[in-house]
Amino acid sequence: MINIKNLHKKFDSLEVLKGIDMKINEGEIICVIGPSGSGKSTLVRCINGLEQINDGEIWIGDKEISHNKTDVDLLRAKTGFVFQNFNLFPHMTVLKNLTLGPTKVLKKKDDDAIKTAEKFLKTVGLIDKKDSYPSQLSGGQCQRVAIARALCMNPEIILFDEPTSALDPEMVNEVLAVIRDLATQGMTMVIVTHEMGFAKEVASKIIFIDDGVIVEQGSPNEIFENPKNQRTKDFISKII
Amino acid sequence: MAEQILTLDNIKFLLIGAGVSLLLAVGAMIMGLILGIIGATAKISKNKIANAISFVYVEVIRGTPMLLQILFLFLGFPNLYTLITGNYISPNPFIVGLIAMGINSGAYATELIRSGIQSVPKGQWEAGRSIGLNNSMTMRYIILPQAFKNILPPLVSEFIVLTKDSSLVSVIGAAELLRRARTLGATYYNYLIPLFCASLMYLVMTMTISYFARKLERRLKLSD
Ligand SMILES: Nc1ncnc2c1ncn2[C@@H]1O[C@H](COP(=O)(O)OP(=O)(O)OP(=O)(O)O)[C@@H](O)[C@H]1O
Ligand SMILES: [Mg+2]
Repeated sequence: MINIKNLHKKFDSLEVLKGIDMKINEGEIICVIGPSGSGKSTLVRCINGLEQINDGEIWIGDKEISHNKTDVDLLRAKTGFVFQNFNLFPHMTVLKNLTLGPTKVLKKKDDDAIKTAEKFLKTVGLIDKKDSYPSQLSGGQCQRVAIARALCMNPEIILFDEPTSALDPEMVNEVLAVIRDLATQGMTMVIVTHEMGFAKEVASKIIFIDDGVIVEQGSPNEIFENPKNQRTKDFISKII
Repeated sequence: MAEQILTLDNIKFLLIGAGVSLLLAVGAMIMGLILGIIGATAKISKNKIANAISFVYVEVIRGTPMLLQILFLFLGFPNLYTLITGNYISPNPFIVGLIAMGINSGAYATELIRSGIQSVPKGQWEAGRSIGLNNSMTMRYIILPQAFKNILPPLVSEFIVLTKDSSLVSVIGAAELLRRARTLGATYYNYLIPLFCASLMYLVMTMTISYFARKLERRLKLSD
């Protein structure tokens, strides 16, 4: 579904991604792990067009999208993104946060958009908060709203950048539960995470990134139980 | 003396002047906000020419007296017009005053709105774009509402300044509050009472603006 070829990304002279090749198939759940500063966030941000790439190609289906402005908008509409610190719109109610994209980008009618929004608020268990403002919600609730906001755009894939890292420990599980739910429904997802237990449980594939390259990839079993590369071994042994 | 001056007709005469002053301020504020949004957008855009135009606009307007700007537009501009076309025009003082004030306000609004836009966290841009909004939609629905909320207090100050500075337009003969107070003064050979009445009316206007601004601010605080 998404095909990334030889992706390079530099910030000024600092080369952060040094040739990433990666395929994301429909229904796959890819967890991206790796040390801090290795380029995990940069990778998912490039996939969503939040960062401009310096070299390489990103294909969605049979379309190469990384070099054309309107195509980038298309890319963003098709890919949901969930940020570490939620980035909800603070001046809008929860419901408005969810209906903005569908009404303005997908040109849905108001009541259609509201219906969809309410459906997904139920999915994440926050229908009673629809008229609240983000400032009135806990971190975990904010992140669940952010996931619902992404779902309302009917994305083909959702990218998560450490969705639980900004949360107090007691709120991590409610967010992971929502993601797990999406996993069982067959949503295609790329999840950058430090939650190794969770990655092991939901991932269909683990990608280990270090220093801007994919060092090793494979099933959770292969990566966590039988890592082949020495850097992977070191990383896994450090965190478990 | 006071009874002679403070007739119903004269008070009405002044009140209409207050209305004209307020109209000048409101009109200039609206013009200023529109110019300010354009100016701020130009200032933060990546286009070097847009940057430069916006920079010059703000510096020239903020670096010269508003009174001079009003006179320039009312007296200087017709000279220029004559020079170019060979025809004469006699501009309407109210319209020219309004335009001069709007252009002036736009320069201050440009800087204010620019700082307001830049006070909105980068993540808000990214969130807007991540749900497929393009740049101008993100600006309109996400960034500007938050920017305006952040700069509401200085914007209100600007509006109050405009209300008071609309009195400068009296020098080109627009029949606003100060001009009318002086007319009354000249008629009755007494400036004390008309000027005192005019100050009361300015005060009522500025205090009312402050009152509603505080109310609005409190309502917007709800979403903090
Ligand atoms: N906008 C930017 N400008 C300059 N350098 C950046 C920018 N964003 C990221 N970097 C640099 O790129 C490198 C990779 O950053 P990235 O955020 O992708 O790492 P990460 O793997 O997500 O790390 P973490 O686990 O800490 O989130 C870091 O060295 C970072 O300092
Ligand atoms: Mg990161």
